[in-house]
Amino acid sequence: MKIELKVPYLNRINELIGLPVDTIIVGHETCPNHIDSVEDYIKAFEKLESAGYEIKFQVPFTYQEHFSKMFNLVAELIKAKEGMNLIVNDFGILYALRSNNLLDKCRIIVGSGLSYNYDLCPWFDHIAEVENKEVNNYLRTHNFNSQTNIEHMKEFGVEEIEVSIFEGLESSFSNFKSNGFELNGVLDLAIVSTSRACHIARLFGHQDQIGNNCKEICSTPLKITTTHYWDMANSDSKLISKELQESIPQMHVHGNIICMHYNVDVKSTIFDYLDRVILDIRRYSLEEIKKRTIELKGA
Amino acid sequence: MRQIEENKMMLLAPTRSLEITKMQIKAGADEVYLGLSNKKYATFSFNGRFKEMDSVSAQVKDEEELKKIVEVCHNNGVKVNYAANVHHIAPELEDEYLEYVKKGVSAGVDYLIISNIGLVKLVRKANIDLPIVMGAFALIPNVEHVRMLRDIGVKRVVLPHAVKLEELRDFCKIDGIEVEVFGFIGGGNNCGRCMLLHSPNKKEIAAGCRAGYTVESSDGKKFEQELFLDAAADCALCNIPDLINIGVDVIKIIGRESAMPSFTSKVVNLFRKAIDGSYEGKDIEDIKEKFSREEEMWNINWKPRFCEKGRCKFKSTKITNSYI
Repeated sequence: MKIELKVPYLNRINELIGLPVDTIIVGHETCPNHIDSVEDYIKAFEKLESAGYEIKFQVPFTYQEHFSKMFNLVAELIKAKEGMNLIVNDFGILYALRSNNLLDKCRIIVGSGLSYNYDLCPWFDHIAEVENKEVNNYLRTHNFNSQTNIEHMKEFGVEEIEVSIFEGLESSFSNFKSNGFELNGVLDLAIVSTSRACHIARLFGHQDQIGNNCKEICSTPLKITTTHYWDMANSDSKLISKELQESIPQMHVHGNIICMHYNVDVKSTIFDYLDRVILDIRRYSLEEIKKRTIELKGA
Repeated sequence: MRQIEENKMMLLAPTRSLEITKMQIKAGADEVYLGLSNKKYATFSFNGRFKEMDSVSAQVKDEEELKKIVEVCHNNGVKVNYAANVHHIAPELEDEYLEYVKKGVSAGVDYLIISNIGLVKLVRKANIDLPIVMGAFALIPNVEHVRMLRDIGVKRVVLPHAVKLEELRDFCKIDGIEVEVFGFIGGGNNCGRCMLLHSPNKKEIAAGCRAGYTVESSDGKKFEQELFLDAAADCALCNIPDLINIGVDVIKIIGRESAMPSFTSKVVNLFRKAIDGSYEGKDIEDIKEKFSREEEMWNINWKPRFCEKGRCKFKSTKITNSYI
């Protein structure tokens, strides 16, 4: 089992040398303002590769305003490093790669911006509890688990899919594997929601810094606990019962991403479907990464 | 019957019953959108909303009523968008999904709203050739994504809640595909890639983007934050002239699950007046002011307004300034 490590911050590259992981993933799922220059990435690639790591670059989910900048950066990176591993998080980037004859010059991976399932809802068990067991099983499918979606991904040269590791995804994983896709399971940190808005900048009134060296704003996550619900009919917030509060997993906000921590038993048979496991530096300390990697490699 | 001018921006309104449909037609809707309920599932549906929200049905109750709605709409020159925009479904449910779509086709609907590329292809493989609107759950942030959808035969795209006015200019330059934007009520996150879902069966779990949270920073400081994740920009009314100039084809009012359909139809009516007034060169502020003066109930029910709350979709606000 190969272990990959997501590191959205290039300024942490030096700390990584010596970690027992196989691959370093740089770039960001959802924020173009987190993306550094081509030159900086090429330098980072050289450093990491000379230390023996494989590299993957994730290009963010990209609104039109940022599209040219993001696509040009990707095109430059592919030019500098033909055959590179590229994680895409929106279909527009994928389409532009094909229009510009770049699809066969890189290895395409579908990222967490495009790949999801209902179990990423922190309270999905509550929603699904009223349906019978058969319907529950169907609801826990992956969003690409259909022959027509699989055909679409093959048409665009997708070779790997980033997935969350939930037991309910077993039949989706089985279908993906039998169609030749490799699966990379994101361990312990699931993206619940993404936004165009940077929640942290808004909370602290840093809106004027967005896009202007703003990476520090979201370099440390905020922990959030659900306390109130929005009563639409009365346009009012009301307190959630203690019991329900305790059943909702705590979430973490990283800029425009809302994540939840979840724990999977690494000895579960669901891991048999995975080709790689992804750890995320936003969840772990370096010591914890070492420990988790050793645990996974021994499992 | 309403006479629709060529290339005029259309107004799309929500409905879930014959009665509400009539209200929306009277209010000035050019098109309505709706979903059809089912008896098989407790809450699940094939149309992007659970069957009920806060004990209010979000869908038309049966095929008979659907047919009546379509008939009334067509008699009044109004088109019907049929929501088949579930995020995704398991392969085992595909036949049932196609049956659901065929019920809409057989009732005579004009458009299908679908939000998953695989389902678009599935519908086409089943030789269903109605025009397809790619719904908001497909999350279409850029022009290249629209081109991909145009290639597979999509007729219209619904752009994300947080699209910017300047970006709309690029979207509206693409030939061969219509552009639809939200006019009233927004979504706080990237709808389609947001799993902070509104529970249909537990009132205490509403949409997570409008929930209240205790927020804790890494140094242990705690903040009580109502609406911390609320990044929804709700109202595009004042920018209707801009949207018309840019070439937006359809503006959508949300609320098929609304507990107050009369309020929703009032909003539709306000947008109708704003669209028509804009084509006639009238000032939106004058239209708003006249509407407030004439509609007493509106004044009572809707205060403070989004104007006072700073929830404008396309203006500089605390929310839109936090867009990346």
